[in-house]
Amino acid sequence: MHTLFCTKYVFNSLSEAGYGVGLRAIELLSFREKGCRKERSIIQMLNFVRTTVWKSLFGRPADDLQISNAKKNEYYIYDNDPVTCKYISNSNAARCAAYTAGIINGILDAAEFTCTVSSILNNNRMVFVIAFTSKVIARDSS
Amino acid sequence: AMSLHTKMARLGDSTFSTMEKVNSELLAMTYGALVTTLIKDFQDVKVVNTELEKMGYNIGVRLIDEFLAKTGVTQCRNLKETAHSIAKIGFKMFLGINAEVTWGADARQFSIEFKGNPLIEFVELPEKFKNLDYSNLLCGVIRGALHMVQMVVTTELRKSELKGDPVSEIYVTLKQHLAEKFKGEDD
Repeated sequence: MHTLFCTKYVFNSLSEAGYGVGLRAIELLSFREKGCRKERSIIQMLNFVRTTVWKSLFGRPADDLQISNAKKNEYYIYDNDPVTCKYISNSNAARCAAYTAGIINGILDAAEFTCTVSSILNNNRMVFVIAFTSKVIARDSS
Repeated sequence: AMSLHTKMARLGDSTFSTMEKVNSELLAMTYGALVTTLIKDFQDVKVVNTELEKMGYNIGVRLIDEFLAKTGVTQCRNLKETAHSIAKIGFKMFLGINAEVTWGADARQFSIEFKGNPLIEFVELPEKFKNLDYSNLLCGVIRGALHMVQMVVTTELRKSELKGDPVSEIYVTLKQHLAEKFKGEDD
């Protein structure tokens, strides 16, 4: 019954596991940190993820938040030292960060900022690539 | 014996304070996600219990190094000291909780009792999972760690706060001591 542990399977499994945690995390954090206030814009929501969420889950804010030059719907959150990759070699790090990608995805989806999130290792920094749906982008520009 | 246990409790506290910490709610939710994934993959509660124990074993064989390095504990003179090291130092430094040792039917068996297991925060066991040994990972950790110091043990999650018991209890039975093998030794 053991499935092949190819990259895609591991990534999806971890991501799915993280997604459920994200759904619960946004509930907890909205209640505790924000007094149930709802964020309106993408940038506000991502700043919430970058600071409040990261500080609560990992003890410190994320290292950087950037918007893509090329793709209008892509944003990047950087983490130089993700806790999920602490004892993992670089070749496997992006796979292990899929768990955190899933958490971010769950949080954003639950806050109605539907997106896909993936993790990539770039220059020894972990990058979480957040791609919002066109609906969310359109809503944000209005 | 009394002052040795107090020394161990103090060592557990001081080591705990130097350990790098992680958000306990993140730990609890991550462990929950792990168990949920195992249930999804294997469906059978018995198999999930076994898998959790195996995972724990793999953690334990590595965790013992960190235990020895961070605490400076060298060798336990007997099983009683071993049991108290696990409860007073190990549980404190890795889980942040206080655990007690009670002695078993004979000199080779003991129980570790504890409350406030951080892994079970937010968790409720639904009726159809009443035979799930949710914290079975911890049983494996103990078995793996002791194996690396030449003790073969079996462990069993006898009581669980998730199942309505007032405390959780891991029952440990020493099966045998292994002789340490050194490379190049003639057989």
